[in-house]
Amino acid sequence: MSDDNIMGLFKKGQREKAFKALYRLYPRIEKLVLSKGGTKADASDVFQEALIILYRNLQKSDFQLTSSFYTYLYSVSRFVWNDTQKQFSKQELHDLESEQVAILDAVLEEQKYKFAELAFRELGERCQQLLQWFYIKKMTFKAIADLMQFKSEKVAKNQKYKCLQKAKDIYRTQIKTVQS
Amino acid sequence: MEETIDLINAYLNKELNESEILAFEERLQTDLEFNTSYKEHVLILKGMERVELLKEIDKARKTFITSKWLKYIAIAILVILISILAHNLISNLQNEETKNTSGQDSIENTIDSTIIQAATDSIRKYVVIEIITEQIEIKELTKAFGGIEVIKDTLIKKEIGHFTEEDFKSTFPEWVTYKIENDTIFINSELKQNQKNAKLLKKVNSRKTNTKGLQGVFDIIKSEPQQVEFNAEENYEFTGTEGTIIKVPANAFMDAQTQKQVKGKVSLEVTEYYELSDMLMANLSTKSDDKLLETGGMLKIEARKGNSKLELIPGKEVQVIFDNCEKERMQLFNGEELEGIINWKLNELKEETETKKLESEVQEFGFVDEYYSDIEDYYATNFRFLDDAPTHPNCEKDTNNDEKRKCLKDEISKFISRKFNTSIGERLNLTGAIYIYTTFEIDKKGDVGKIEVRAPHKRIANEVVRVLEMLPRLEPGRQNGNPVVVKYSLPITYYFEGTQNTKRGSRNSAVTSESDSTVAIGVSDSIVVLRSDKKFQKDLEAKPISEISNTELERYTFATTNLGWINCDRFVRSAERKIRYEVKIKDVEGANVKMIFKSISSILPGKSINGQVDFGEVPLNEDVILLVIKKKGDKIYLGKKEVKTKTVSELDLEFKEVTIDELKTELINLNQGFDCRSIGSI
Repeated sequence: MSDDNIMGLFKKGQREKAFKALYRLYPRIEKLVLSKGGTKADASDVFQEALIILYRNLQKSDFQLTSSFYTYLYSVSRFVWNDTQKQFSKQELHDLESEQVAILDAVLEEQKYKFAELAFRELGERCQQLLQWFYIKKMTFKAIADLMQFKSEKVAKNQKYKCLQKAKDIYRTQIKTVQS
Repeated sequence: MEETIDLINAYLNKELNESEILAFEERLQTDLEFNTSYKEHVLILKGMERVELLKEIDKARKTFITSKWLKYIAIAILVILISILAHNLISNLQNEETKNTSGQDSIENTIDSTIIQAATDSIRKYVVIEIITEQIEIKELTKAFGGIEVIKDTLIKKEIGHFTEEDFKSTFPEWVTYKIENDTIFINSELKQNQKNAKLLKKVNSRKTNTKGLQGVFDIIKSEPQQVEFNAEENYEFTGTEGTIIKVPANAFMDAQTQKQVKGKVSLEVTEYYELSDMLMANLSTKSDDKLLETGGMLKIEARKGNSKLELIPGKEVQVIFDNCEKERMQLFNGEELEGIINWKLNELKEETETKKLESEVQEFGFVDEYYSDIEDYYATNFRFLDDAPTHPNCEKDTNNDEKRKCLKDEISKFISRKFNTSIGERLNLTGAIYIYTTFEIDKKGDVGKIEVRAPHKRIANEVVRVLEMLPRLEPGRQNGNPVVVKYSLPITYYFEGTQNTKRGSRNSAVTSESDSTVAIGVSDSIVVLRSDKKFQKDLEAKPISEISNTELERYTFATTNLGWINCDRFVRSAERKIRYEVKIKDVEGANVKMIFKSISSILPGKSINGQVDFGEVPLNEDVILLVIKKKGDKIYLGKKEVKTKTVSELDLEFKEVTIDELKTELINLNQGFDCRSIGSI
């Protein structure tokens, strides 16, 4: 499948299909990570992150993919891997081109979201479900209240707020422990 | 704060108008606090989105890997095909050289292909779907007449399984007529009803009476298991002809002897016993040690691979959904065969050993009274040995461990009574005391998890889970300064007083069960009913509420870690005095004697010694039927009599000679009013 086709899939909202198509690039990324001393599991993680970062950027209106998917994923993967290894020499950072700076920014940004993800996963099952229904599936409080057997929409809304607050609390404490 | 979030949501969802957007963005620039909350909110949303994205990426990865393998396999097959073709080509050339009768070849070819066609036909699998016709009354309100009742036939389609036509015929001989459409076999439930007796008799006739003794009779009349085959590496759901649903997780079986995991095709044999006759014919009774049980259906599940018996891998659970009974407070029992009689043992959730020593401690904790002592045995609360008990945020002022513990208990109780949605009880028309038993863990982070609830109704269990999950984060329990997981058990008693008022009472003032038992035989207070198992719950939650049928909610879901005999039962505790029931019956030596209770679904086996039949302890003044089956030579005799249980009893029983078919008919006749599914709750 050509890059244009994959781009088309993303535009049509068929994310999963697009990811599937992009996976054919995985063996080459795997080679990259392996050559830098990572394991196969590392490679799989790195590629996942790279896909997420690619997707996030495609969502941005001002983003233009100037190279092929492969080149882009390759450089993102490199940054992701180096970031996990904390291997950035000062010289290296100094020499970055503007495009690469953007990628590094995205990698670091995603790192924060990863913490938010972990905080979210700390929540109880019902809390997770509720938030996902509301924010990802965009379900109404009415439908959520029905499904979760809440007394009313109001209760569902209230619960949603509490769950969200809880996730934020967890996130804050996590960040604190990381920083200390 | 909540308004801020709403505003941010509206902004992100592009629900604001232009001026609002401008105001919003302006505020982001100037209001630092607002800016922080906005950023934090977006952050959490992005984190949440990651969960979804990762799920999709993982799926993509899996298909990528499988397609890679498929490619290899396809290449391998291609190579093999080509080599076969080449081989054929060469041998054909040779053939042509030797003989010139080319016509014969083509005939052989066509024959071959028809045979192949026939072979694929006989192994072709069909989805078997049962069509159940149900009449539903619909009231249509019209202004003119105040209402018209319309009776509508609705067709319900129920998938029974995947069979080849051959298999289907042998598994369901009762379906004389069926319809095949494409890949589906349709069967109609109305036809089955009429055929039921025919099926029983047919099975009897097909077996010969050559086994000796009384056991031989049972061997002939007992119902045959339903047999299905499936792939052990996949999740499998089986629905029995009587409606039992059995859900087997993937990779759950191991060989009983080698203890090694089993892969590939395995066969499952399931026998369902819901009707009295089915139980009697299988020589089953409902007894747990010396206690009488009331049954909501029994099952025998066996799994095999070839000739070797399979067991469940430790940690794997098979879910069993009994098709019963509005009866409440059912428990799961596992059967152990002892001297030809099956003794039912309560399916224990935890090892007994760890709890024995803790019994006294839990008592001291003040959570338990005699109602729960049975169940409490299975749980451990290692509170006592903790350096620091888990602490509720409101309890931080308490320094002493005991104070903390008490404070935590009070806080949780308060929390539950505040948050519990009592309208659920009203909707279910519950009255009186409802016992709910929960255990959960407070993990190393201080969060509540692994919640298990037993309540008289699924919805109540769900509600308790919901409330407990809302508990604030606690300070975790500590041992030597390190956070540890702490188990916690909490019985809750609720008083639902009719539909008007709901009062919550402390456990200490709980009413005894005798006082609200108006029937001669009450039900024990063992409240174990149902484990709020997350999977089933999720299944329910995944469906829109309108699609959840009542039966689904009323069914009892259990998880079992053992195969073999399984029984959905409850203990019977009589308000009446118990007596030892012995009865003298002439010529009773070697006979099989059963006591069938008319008011409850219970069967007791009798032991005969010197012409006396001993039933152990039974409630006084119960209407029972005594049923005696014996065999002399090749002849079978049946005697039955309705009696009331009394202390001293002598019985003149007339035996009549019966054929096996007559015996079956007699037993089936007893079914009336016994089928556990037809009895309402007591």
